[in-house]
Amino acid sequence: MAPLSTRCRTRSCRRCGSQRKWHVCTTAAAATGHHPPDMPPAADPDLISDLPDELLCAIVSFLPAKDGAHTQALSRRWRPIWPAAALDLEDERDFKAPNIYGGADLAGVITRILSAHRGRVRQLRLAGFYYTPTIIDGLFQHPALDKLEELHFRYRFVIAQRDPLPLSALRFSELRVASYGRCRFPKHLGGAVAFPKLRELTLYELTISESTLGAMISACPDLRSMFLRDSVGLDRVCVNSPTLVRLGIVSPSMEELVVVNAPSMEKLLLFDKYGGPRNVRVMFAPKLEVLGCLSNDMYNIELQSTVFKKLVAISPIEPLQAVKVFSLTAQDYKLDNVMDFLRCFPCLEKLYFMPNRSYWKDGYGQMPNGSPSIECLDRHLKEIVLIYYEGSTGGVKFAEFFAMNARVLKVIEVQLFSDYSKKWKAKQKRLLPKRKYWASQAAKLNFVHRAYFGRRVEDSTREMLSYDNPFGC
Amino acid sequence: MASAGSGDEKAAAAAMITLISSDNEKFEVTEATATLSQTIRHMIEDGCTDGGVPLPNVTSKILARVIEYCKKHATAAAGEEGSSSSFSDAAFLEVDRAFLEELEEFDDAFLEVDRATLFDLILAANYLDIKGLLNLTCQKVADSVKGKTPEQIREMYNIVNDLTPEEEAEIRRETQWAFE
Repeated sequence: MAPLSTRCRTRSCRRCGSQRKWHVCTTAAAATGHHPPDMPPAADPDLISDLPDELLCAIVSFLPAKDGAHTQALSRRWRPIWPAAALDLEDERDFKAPNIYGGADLAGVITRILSAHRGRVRQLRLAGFYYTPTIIDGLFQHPALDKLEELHFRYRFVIAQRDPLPLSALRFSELRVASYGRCRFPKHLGGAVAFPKLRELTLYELTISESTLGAMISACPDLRSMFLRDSVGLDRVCVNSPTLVRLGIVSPSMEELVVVNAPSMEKLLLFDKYGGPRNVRVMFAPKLEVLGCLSNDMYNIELQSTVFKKLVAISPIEPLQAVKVFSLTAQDYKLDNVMDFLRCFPCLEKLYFMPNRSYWKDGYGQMPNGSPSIECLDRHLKEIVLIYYEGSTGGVKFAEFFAMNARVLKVIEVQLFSDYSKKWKAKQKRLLPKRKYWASQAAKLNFVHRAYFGRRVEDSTREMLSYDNPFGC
Repeated sequence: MASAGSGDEKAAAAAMITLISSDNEKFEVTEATATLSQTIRHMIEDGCTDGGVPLPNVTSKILARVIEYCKKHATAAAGEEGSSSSFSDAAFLEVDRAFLEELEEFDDAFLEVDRATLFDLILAANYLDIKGLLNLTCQKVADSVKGKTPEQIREMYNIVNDLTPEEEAEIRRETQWAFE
């Protein structure tokens, strides 16, 4: 037997040069009839077919439907395996032929697969249909889908007058993860819609009313993550959920977001680059740990009883003790924009700041006289990330303020959108006060080259909400 | 509540369990490592691990590999518990991405074994009920047949085609969409 592999790993296959991850090389064997050393010669026994049925099922359940179906034609042993395995169907992946795209044909193929399948249908991803709500309705009624755990549905195209989502798309009570996109949501959900196990919900590019959204949230008593993106009809969103941990929103047209009651909420992520929601109110979210990006395009921000108008507190500040990560975007590096928030989040550990749009003005606001007594500066603030830093006077003064006042600071990270020279970086360092004057001797200044705006807006909650560090790249 | 929990975990981490392979080799592992296996976890809960846990279906060679996997992933699990997130659903785990990458590299390296070992690992992961290892190894096999025709898969795994031409034609008819 070959010794266990503890040797240094290479990134690419030594035979065919393709990436090594998940790769079983057949190049050499196919080309010359010579078997690579880790492959048994042809006379070797058929080890795989000796595995018990449940394990063969487990293996084929990892295959796309097309490949899964192929395994039926291997031998008698294999014929019943795939139909008994858990099935994940994904139209765009599994059916490549363009002639079956679009409507009845696609539905026909899927229906045939579902009817022949004896195993559990675990996941369904449909993105190929267009203009065919009745056909989709028929498909969703299929009894094989009763125990569906994950559903992702959208029409193929997004059109102004969106096609309706059949109510049957909301009948799956075993769902854990769901996303609905590019459709018109039913106006009335009716009493039958309930998702007792749903944890992740994504709604995007929809036409949906505020009351329907409210009803959806109420229908999910175990909801943990919700992501709303670019929907029409959501001028005002109220969130009431005892279980919701993460909420992500991209919605330039949203007028108001009100987090009324969210005792479990830890992350409130507003990914919008340009504004919306225009007003944000967080009434009750005592566990809120990550908040942002708040923007100077937001007219009114209320955090518990603290009211900010255009980022300036106009009421006494009521601290939010749980907030540890905060992201802010405002015009240029104005300290004034940050001070009230530093007071509002006494336990803040990480601050992101990004100038809003590439709007350059060198007004950096009032430098506070002496050292301001702010709890988070004295005791908690460890990391500052300055995004889009271009070495403007405002930026330098901004960095200087934190260098001089943040006593437990570990890192000032400067994110550049183009890769500046070493000379430039050295000059930026010289612009800051000498290290011996810094409030924290342990603090480092790091330059990082990042394409912040290159980041794609994902359709899935998991991608958007699971990063520990949602505001950087 | 959280502090009481971590105290218990500290005590548990110190406890050692002896695993005995089919060829009578003994392996000492921490409880945190061993309990990645649901099978062993249940044995511990039932209090029947004194004098070692015999695993008659796993050879010492495979058990050594399984333990290597569990050790690495137990550290990962511990890291997750230590993170600030109080929510521990696997789908939402927030661990350091660098650490996740390291774990992925470990998994890649771990899977570089000959085919017989891979199947033995699948069987062991199933018997010991280690979900992560089972998924990892099954995924590896699945990826090796992805995009291949039945003929190529047969050749690759030495599967003998015992289907009659009629049966084969019938299967092709039923799954025509997959062969288009």
